[in-house]
Amino acid sequence: MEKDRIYYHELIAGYFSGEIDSAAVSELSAWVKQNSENQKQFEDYHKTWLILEETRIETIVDINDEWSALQAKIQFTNVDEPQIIKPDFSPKKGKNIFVSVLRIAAVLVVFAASAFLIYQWLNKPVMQKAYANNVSLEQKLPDGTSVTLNAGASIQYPDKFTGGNRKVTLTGEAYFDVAHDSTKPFVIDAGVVTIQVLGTSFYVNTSDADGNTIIVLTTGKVKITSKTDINNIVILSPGEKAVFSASQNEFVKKQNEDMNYLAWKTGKIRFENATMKEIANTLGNVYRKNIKLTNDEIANCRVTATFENQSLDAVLNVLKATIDIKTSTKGNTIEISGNACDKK
Amino acid sequence: MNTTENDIILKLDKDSFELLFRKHFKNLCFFAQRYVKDLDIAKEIVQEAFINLWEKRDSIDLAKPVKSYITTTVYNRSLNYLRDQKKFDKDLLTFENLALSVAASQTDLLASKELDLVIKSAINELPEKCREIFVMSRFENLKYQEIADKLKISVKTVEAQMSKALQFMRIKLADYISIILAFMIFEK
Repeated sequence: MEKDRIYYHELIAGYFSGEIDSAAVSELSAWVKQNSENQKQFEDYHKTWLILEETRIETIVDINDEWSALQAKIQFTNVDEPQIIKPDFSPKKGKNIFVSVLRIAAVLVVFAASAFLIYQWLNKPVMQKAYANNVSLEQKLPDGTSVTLNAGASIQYPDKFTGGNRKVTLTGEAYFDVAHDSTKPFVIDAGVVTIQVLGTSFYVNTSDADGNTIIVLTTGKVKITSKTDINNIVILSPGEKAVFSASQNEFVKKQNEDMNYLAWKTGKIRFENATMKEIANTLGNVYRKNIKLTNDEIANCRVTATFENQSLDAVLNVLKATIDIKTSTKGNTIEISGNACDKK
Repeated sequence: MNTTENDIILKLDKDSFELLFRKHFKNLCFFAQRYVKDLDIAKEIVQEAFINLWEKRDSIDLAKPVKSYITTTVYNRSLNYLRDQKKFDKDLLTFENLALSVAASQTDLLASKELDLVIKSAINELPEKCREIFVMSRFENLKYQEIADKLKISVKTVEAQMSKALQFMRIKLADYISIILAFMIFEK
């Protein structure tokens, strides 16, 4: 029966993903044992799954992270020298001196070990998390890097950067001003991509309205790697923007045209002969509201204006004074209506 | 560190422990994951096995391969996990070639660069929604419920898409399945 086949195929996929409960496991088992055809189906899917799992584990397990995690859990003692006993071929008369030297060495090793233990205990990095609620938040990281989180964004970072790199995890939108340290690359886990920098300032949005990951570079150089495909990388130069689509595993690199991409942080918005469509878009992003144009005619009206640290109402008032528009607010949505502008 | 044949290494030191870890961690995760079907649990089991090794380093017999010691720990804890979850099904595990004796267990990853690229390109050929869900499950390590919540669809849809993805990949990787099998049988 077709329906049954589909049902059991879903069970098989669910079984390998660890998503089905124990009753379903038994049900699947009974079905597989029923006849050799079912068994073959199961085995074929299993082999396919195995191949996929190998790639998956190769890709998403980061051995450096895992080693750091393990180090945090283990107290390492006697790290200086492995204990090796060399066979003692020396003549016996030297034995007493040898033994006292050994005793002193033992005391020194124990002392070094306890000092090391205490040092380790005092210095275990503790994970911190900074979360920007309704306003943007600036957070300084232990290496001097400054991160400005936009509302709703959060970052996880250790209170000390130990190990070979400086690694943080970001969700949302943020602006990074990374302190320069050529010995320790700064690495950001941004959901579906990994961003590696040396000393640089740039903007990241881990998931915009379309579900894409956006990175815009202000100064320096960054290398961005897709997490699902480590061969898919892009390197940005200042002024460039990368848009990554996880579903297509594709980077699109272009010059950044949007001069207001940091407006949420700087409070400064510049419109130079910008269309109302662009303006509505930008204002929506900066003030976190849904700004809609009610008709197409006003979409092409152009405005030149600069706003510094103005409220949305102030901005809208200036626009109303400049072109013939009306606004009405309904909750989080602001509708802008008006007539077409004269073509000059 | 200079050692000669006459020397006896009495203890595992931090450096050789780290080398062991870096060499075997991923393999062991793959091994554990085949049983427990959950990567986070697999990582935890393997991490704990290494901690266990470190703590017992004075008492284990270093004449025997250390790796088999860790493998045994991982194997036992994986089976225990399955039993706790009441998901231990001997028959299914047999069909999955998960020998129910650790001695016969093979743990090494076989993935080659070439196979890796083939798989990634196959994933890229999946229909859009299907690929998105598949990637979220396997590479972002999200559970079906989390995927459903994120994409605002039902868990049933996620289940159906994962099954479709598996069917698609089975056809795409058909050629490689027999090669991999051959390696698995002849690996020591």
